[in-house]
Amino acid sequence: MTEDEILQTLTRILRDLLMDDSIVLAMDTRREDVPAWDSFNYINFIVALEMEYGIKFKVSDVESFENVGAIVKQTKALRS
Amino acid sequence: MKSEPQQSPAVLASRTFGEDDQQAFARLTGDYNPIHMDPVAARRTQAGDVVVHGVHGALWALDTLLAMGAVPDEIASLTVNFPRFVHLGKGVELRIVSRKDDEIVATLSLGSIVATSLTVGLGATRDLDDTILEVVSPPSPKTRPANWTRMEDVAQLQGWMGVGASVDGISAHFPHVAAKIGRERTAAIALLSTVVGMECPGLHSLFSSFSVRLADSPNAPNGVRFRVTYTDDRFRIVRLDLAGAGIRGEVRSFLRPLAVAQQDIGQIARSISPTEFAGSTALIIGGSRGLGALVAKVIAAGGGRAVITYAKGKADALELEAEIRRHAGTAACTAIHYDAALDPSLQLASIGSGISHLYYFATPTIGQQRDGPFMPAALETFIAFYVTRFYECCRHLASLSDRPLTAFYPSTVFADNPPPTMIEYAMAKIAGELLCSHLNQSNIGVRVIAHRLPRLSTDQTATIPPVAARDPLEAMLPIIREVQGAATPASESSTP
Repeated sequence: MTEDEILQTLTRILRDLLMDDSIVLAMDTRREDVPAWDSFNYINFIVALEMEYGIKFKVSDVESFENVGAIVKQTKALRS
Repeated sequence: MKSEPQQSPAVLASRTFGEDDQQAFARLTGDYNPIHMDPVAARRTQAGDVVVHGVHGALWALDTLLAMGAVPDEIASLTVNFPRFVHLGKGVELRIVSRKDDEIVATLSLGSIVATSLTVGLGATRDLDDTILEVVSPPSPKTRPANWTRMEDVAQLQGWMGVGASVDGISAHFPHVAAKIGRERTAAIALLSTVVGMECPGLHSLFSSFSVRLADSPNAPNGVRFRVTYTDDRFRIVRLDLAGAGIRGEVRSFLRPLAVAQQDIGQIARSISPTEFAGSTALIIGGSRGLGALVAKVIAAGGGRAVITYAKGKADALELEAEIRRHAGTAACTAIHYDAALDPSLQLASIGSGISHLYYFATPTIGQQRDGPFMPAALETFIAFYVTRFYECCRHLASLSDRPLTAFYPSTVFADNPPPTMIEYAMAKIAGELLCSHLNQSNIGVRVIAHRLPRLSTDQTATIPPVAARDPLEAMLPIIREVQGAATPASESSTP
């Protein structure tokens, strides 16, 4: 699974969560860049991502993700 | 983030929920959770202010769709998500965003932001057994709403919520829903708000979503059984299964982290000399909680006098005043009402000429709902608070006294790299910094010290999951000492 494929999945999950099909995530997207992506929706997003890939993040990872690229890379690492 | 252009579906209806609506829904359902009813308590939560009952908005949306004939088929299921708070007085717009053979998806939006989504599943009700949940014993909270604070407290919760007494009122409130899916089912769905807000997780809950199928079981009990079936301690997620009164499904919620309490003055006093700030009187605008309250305690613990202001949180301010007076004496603290959106001169008339220091923590709500990339009205509000009224406050205090006034202006690290969702806030803070530099070069008897504060641990910054934040006392004490030690106007600002 490539980073680009994971990025596409993240975009789909966030679109479904926020009901906003205009969202297109990039590796350097920060949570603050997306209107309505607040802390609760961030958690819902992380949980949906965990269910999608059958993975579990550590809380310290979730706290420290600086952008979408960091989430993609950690997802890929946990899947491998 | 790139953005793909989208054409928005037509608005079918709009509504602004007010206080009367909150009271009416609370009376019907019994959901009196303070996040919906008490502005002072609600401002200490992640919502920042009173929010509409999510289930109220969802049922109003469904009732409106049914009244319009937009859902001609039978309803088999209902899934509702609450991705965004709806604050009182904010208008929501109802749209149908997708329609298929087996489902209709509608949204309630604040501008371009979806606050509630409803997926109405179409088809016949099914012969689901909605009596399967065996509840051993009801929860026995000592208070209502139930004041559960730890995940282990809620992990085993289960209970039963009768719908009988609520059926008439709720059905009359949502007549088209009641006619379509039945009075008991309508009441049961409305009472999910009460299950979450008053029972489980209770006082510190946030309702995230629910999904129910309409069950076709004539012997269903006249109430909803609920049981916690899943918790995630990492993110404080609480999931309930529910069954009864013709519905079966699941509720997802959060157990909110508690508001952050600042250290008490006794603890703070250990870091401060008891005469360190003697002879000074500090006016602390926005001093009833958060960093303002911390500054008040530090000043008083150092032998100074703190005049704290509150706009809404009178009870918080009086509690703080009492704490400081117990430790440092009656003269050490006075709480006064002050609305930072209004002209300061009349409001400060009673405090006399003795103010030597000003700490300006006044702020409107920062995380406003967005309806576009730039919101001129939001910038106007922030400018009024952070620039115009700050200037007027400085001028007024300086005019009262012969001795120079030293003011602290809290700016933000967001000024360095403003996120797009906080651009108006950052712009206004930068404008405030420029004003501080200008005041320091003007001969009006005011010296302003401005610092860009990092994220500090206060009730306004408590999130799920917890985000690393500095200890407020550790961050603020050097700044307070700098401000208290700056007795004369200087020619240069410390603003970056």
